[in-house]
Amino acid sequence: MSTTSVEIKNNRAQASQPNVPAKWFEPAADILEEHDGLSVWLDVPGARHDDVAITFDSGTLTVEAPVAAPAVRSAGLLEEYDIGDYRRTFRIHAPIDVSAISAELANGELHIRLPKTNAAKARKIAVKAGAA
Amino acid sequence: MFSPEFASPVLLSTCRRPVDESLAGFIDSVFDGRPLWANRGPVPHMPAMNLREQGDNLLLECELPGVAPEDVDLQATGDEIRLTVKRKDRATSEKPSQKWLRRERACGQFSRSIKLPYELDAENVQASLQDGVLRASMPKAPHSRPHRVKLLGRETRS
Repeated sequence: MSTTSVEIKNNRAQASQPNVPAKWFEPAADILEEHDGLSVWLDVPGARHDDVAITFDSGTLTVEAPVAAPAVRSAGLLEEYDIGDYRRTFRIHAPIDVSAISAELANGELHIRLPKTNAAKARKIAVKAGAA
Repeated sequence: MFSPEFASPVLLSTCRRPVDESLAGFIDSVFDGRPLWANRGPVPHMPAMNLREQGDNLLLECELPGVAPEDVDLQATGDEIRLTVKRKDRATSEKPSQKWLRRERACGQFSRSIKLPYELDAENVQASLQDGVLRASMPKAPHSRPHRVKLLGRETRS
């Protein structure tokens, strides 16, 4: 009984806003920070290239990907996952060069590159030898 | 000593509830309430699977994001299907200039077999991997398909 509620809490985020589809999932993400930017990978199996929408607005990265419901609906022998749209929002605190954001989707894996602005990049400062 | 109320199912279920709740709280605290792909399957780090029947076909669907077709091995033998998946190119290490801020996605290898209530026509299994979803259509073996029995009619009287 309680196990089911845990599953729902972790996997099945129910819509609270009216413009959000009825059934959607938060895709699992990996985020790597490098000196020149951030890399975000999201697992969005079933999402098609043309349907993925990525927006970056004042520090908020939103990824949305609708997934078509299966055409065949018949009795399932085993039903371990449900199909629905993907939706996830991240708050990014690093200053990002918005015009240079890029993304690619391959094998249900979405990779978003968020380069930092030049001012925010880590820089090694050379120390000159002073006059003795 | 051992009172009957103690053994009553009602009381046992009341005892179970706080245990379940604390376990749920523990799971939430470990996973931070985050959606884990691994949690969608029955066992951690095992991708979830859907199996449906459509006529004489058994349709399998499994979400395998980031897996190349050559790393999927699907075998059908008699009344058993076995799926082995290797996920090799997911970075797990970090260089000194890198820092993982989140690691939620599953990686590594898994193998899973499912016993079916009937035999499959293993020769005619077809599978595809598209957009990170494995789909396989597995026809039932001819002797496992339902066979329509003709009823013998009574002889018509003249």
